[in-house]
Amino acid sequence: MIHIVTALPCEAKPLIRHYRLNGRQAENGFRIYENSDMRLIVSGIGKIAAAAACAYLQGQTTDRQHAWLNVGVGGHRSLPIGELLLANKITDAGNHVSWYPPLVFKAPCPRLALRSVDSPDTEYRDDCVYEMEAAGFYATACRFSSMEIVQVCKIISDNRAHPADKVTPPRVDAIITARLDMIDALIQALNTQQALLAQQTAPAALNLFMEKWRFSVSQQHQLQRLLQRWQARNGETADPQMFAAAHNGKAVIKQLQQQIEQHPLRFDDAS
Amino acid sequence: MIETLYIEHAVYEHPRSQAIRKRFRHASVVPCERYGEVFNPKAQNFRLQKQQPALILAEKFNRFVLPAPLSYNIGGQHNYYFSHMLNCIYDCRYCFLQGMYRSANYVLFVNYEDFDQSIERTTAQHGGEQVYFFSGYDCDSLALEPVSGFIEHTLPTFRQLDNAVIELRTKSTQIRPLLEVDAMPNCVVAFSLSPDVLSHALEHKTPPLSKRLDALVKLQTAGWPIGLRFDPVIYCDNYRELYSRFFQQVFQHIRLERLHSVSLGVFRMPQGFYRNIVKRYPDEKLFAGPLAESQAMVSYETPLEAEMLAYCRETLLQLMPEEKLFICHEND
Repeated sequence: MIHIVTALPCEAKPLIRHYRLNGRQAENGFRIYENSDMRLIVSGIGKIAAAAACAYLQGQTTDRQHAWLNVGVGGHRSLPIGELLLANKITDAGNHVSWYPPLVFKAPCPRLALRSVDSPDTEYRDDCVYEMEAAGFYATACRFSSMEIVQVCKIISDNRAHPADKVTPPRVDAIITARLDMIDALIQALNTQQALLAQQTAPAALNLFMEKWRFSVSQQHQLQRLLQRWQARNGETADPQMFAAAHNGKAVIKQLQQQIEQHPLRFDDAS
Repeated sequence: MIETLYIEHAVYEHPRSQAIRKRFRHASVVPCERYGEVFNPKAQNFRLQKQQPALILAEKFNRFVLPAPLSYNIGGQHNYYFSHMLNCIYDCRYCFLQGMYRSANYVLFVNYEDFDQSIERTTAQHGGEQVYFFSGYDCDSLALEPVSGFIEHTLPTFRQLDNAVIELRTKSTQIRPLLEVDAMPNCVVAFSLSPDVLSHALEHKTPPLSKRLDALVKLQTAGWPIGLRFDPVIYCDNYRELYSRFFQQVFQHIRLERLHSVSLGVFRMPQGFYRNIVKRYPDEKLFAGPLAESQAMVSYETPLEAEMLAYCRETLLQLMPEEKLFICHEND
């Protein structure tokens, strides 16, 4: 599942069309659109709104470690309109705090620093993208997910030759639509990384065991680690049916321990 | 190789930073205030970052040379280590670095001269007594040498220090800077070696055993003192057969008069690092073995650990003199 945050409806529209997202009815304060793989929230302008939207979206689920992507438009002094950039540094212009989104996949586009400002900046003093949400988005989304799967991409909507006051919603829709192929590549890459991260969480068999027997919190931790060890040594997940005769969680844990110790431990092909 | 280069403002114009920028022209260069901004945030995943680590160029301000842990010694009384780099380009599953840092990015401290001064001061503190310095503690000593040039820079310092010995600990075959200069009797090039099967399973991105042995032979022939590091020894059902064959294979290449030291230790790790690694690699077979926690360390159950050490020691002593063998044990 990927969570996407956009500031404006005109930034969201191309994504809603492309991914065929359905709008939810009657949300409190935010519009959310979704399909089975993606949730998109329209935050409104500014870093506080973006932070609130992230928290609101996360509150919709008990799962953690979703991928997150902030898609929007921004200004740069000279880059051409329509250029898509992935953030390699995000600085909150208000307090000068910076974040550095790690890149663990091949970037489908150039990378540049972003500066999150509190009001529109038309001087474009430094070689960075000026926008208004990334700092709030990044600081908040990283509370719920690992930084590698939290990314920000911005498409240039204005520069010194094409000032921000000339940017209209249809224009924003058009420039984002023109970059949907790159945005899609980013989403695919983030989904791949999120799947790798999921491998580091609880083994698939854990729920099957917990449905069948009762385990205390401490036993659940033991069980989780034993199922991981089982999988590591056997190359396959443990089947609860093998322990059908066990009367309770304690007996399951004991049997798992005994059987793991009996499995061969080799690192060559014979394992 | 390096897609992102973070550079502290303080060393942005440093000649070494400039040279490294030139080497990675295609890399995205990101200035930062202090390397900790990039390296230390909590919400990072080491395993994901290991797919494509970035290089951080930084300045180190203090603690250039530190006392080595007690178990880290090859016969000297005064043992120190230094880390011009944090993290390693290799991906060895048993390495404590995999559990120590939140980030898999490499940090390179470019102010090498400050390391030199600290090494000289530390050596002088011990009068004429021999002082050992270990360079491959928080990184591989040679693996990133083509980029860092650190060893090429620092060897002349040791060439002038009669009572200082440096150990370069490595799995790398980047030995050209050593072969291009005269061998130094006070520089031990120590190769970390494991049986092929274990190397293949656990030492990801490293040169194969045969290549490491080739490098070792070249250095030995050029007159460099050689160290062998059989640490960690890894348990598996057929460990006796594996290690017996492996020791034979290695010693076929060794000229005993060139052999400085051999160290031997079984897999062990501080508990905190171990827990981090298991979270990152829950599916790793190494951690599904007969391990036990004791005194804030994780290692094999005590009788097994003793049995493995005894077996390997006995096997090695059939191939080499006892005075050159050092057993590494965390309880030392």
